[in-house]
Amino acid sequence: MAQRLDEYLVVENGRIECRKCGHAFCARGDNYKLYAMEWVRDFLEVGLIKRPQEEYIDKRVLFRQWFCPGCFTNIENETILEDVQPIHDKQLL
Amino acid sequence: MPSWVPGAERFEARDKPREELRISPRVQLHEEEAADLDPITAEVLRHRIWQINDEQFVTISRVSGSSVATEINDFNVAIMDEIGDIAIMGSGIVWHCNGDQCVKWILENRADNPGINDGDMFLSNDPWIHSNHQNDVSMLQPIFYEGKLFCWTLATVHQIDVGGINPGSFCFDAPDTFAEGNLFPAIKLVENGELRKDLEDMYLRRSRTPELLALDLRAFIASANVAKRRILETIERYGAATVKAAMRRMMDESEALTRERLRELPDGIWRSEEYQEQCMAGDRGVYAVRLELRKEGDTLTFDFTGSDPQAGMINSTLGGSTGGATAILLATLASDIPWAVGGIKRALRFEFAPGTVNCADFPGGVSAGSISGVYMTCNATIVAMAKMLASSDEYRSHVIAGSEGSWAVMYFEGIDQYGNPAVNINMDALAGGIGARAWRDGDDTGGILEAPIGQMANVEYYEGYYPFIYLWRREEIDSGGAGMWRGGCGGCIGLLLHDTDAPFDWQWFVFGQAFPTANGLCGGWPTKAVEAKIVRKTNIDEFLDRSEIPADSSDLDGEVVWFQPKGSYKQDPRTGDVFHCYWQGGAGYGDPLDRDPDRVLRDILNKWVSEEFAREVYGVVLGEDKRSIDVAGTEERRREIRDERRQMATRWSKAEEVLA
Repeated sequence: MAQRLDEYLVVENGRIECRKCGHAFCARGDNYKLYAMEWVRDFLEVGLIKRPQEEYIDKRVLFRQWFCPGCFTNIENETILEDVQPIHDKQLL
Repeated sequence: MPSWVPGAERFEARDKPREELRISPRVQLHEEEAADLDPITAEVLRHRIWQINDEQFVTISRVSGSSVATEINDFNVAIMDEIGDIAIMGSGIVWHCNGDQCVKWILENRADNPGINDGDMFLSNDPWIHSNHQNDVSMLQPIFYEGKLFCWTLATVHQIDVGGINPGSFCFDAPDTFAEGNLFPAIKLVENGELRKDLEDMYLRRSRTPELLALDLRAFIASANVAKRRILETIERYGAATVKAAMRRMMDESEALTRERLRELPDGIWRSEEYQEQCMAGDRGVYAVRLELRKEGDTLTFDFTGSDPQAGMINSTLGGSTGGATAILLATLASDIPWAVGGIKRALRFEFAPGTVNCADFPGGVSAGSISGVYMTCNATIVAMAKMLASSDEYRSHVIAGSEGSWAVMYFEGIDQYGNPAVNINMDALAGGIGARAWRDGDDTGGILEAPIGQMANVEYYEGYYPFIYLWRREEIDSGGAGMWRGGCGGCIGLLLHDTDAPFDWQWFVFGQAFPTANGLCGGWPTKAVEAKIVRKTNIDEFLDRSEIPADSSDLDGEVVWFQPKGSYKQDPRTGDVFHCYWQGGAGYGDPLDRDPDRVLRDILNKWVSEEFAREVYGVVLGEDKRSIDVAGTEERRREIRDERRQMATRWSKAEEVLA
């Protein structure tokens, strides 16, 4: 039986799949982001900050977008420190 | 709680269950409850206690002279049973639900000396006992009936200034709590119905605004007196055992409803990581709160043990952070369950690591705890909680995306238009944007999720009492996080000083300025980050001479001074300086390309979204008349954006390595 994971993802037959195109990401317990497509963007570039981050902080915090490899729906986003591993944010037991 | 300060562990408070409390036999608790409470009487009493709670709240706002209480509702009240478990609380600042821990601490530490007796009231603001930060001062009143401690009332009101190195007591120059506002660990300020003058002097002496604190003190006492009278009247009419049974039932029912809801959700783990920049003035670090939210059966565990070590003055304590996480649960999962928090909390578990940014050891800096460590805890909880709810067809309607990712504090001090010293806080940022739901847009300038009835004051309030002219106060374009459902817009103000020659100091404290901190869900975008600046030596007089008002700081000529997230900045009235602040909106839900173009058009026409942002992010193109959608152009633009995604996106660079 299909089990909803979120707006765009579903667990079916033990796999996480895209609800739009049916693309299979991974097994239900795995981090789907490791199988998704990533686009890392600068907040200044997308217009969500006014001043360059280096005026405030020594590290970089980035806008990381995740897409379904099948239909390229934007399935999740992260505001994330550079080099941090994709957060395994949804995991059904 | 490890601390290098001897004896600090005595001030550690925990939300202990009844059986773990060690209470002196000098205090007799009223624990009898009627076994035969009928449903109708139970419901009558529930509403009566609810009404008393409302009257507690209204009394504070009527008696206080502080704008925090009279204008914006930055406070809350609760009625608790004999050991502090909350039977009902108001809908002011919800994270004040941590007052239960203070009652338990008082019971264990004040019963023998100075004693807990009829007519007493205890004042407390010690974050290691329960408070979010020193400004959040609580008054706790034990109510006795026939010699036994029947219940407690709680009121917590943000005080304008309680001392410390920076005006307003958000001490961004303080390396630890010894340079912050005084700690009052549940002192008996009212004894046998009399306000202790010596202790009042000690309390007020450290404040830059003693007159406002004194007014709030009277409001505390008035509210407690009203509640006590009403509760005793209720006991006289229905009997103590019956009223107590009703209070127990309120908590039991809320616990049962919470557990039932949890059982209906799938078991799982949801994780989030939220940041704050700069732990004090001059710092350049980034600090994380990390949450692993585990739902198993009918129990929900908030595991924050992975959070960063405490730093500077942005930390919160166990009590504050527990209140923050609970507040988000109440506003989302339990928004339609009566807030008998004493029952709801039985279904919750909290895990923190001592010495972390949201579980600081004494004497870490905590003066901004409410809007930093606690707020980060709230941000992490909003995201993880929403992802849990999004996994349920039934409860996805309770999903709310990140909402006003920080609370911009705008303290000012100077000489007002009447020649008097002025120290206060502009709380317009209480009108932040609420995040999108999974089924509709978020609320524009809708407030703060943790403060359901918080509100901004009228412009006329600030203009009447202080030498400000509001040049603008408006919703900020493009500040609602993009998404299939858009986040609510944040707000923006521009302030000019008049009829004073004295420069004003702005004590500016915020986070979410180097990056946004209200984060989206399922492809929803975050809001726009905070902006603050003063435009100095402006040409504002030219506008006023023409009887015109600028609509934005970009209309003005002048020297722009951008604020750091924590710092003090001067605004000089003699040179037409203008203060400009934008605070965050709410985040979006779902892929922006899934948004109905007609909704985007409406947003453009209402100036919530710019035409450029609509084209770049939503892929919506307007027709030549600028009042309709170019359908073909929109289809083409959305194709382009999808193509761009295909070209730009790649597998995470270390995916293969991690998977191997």
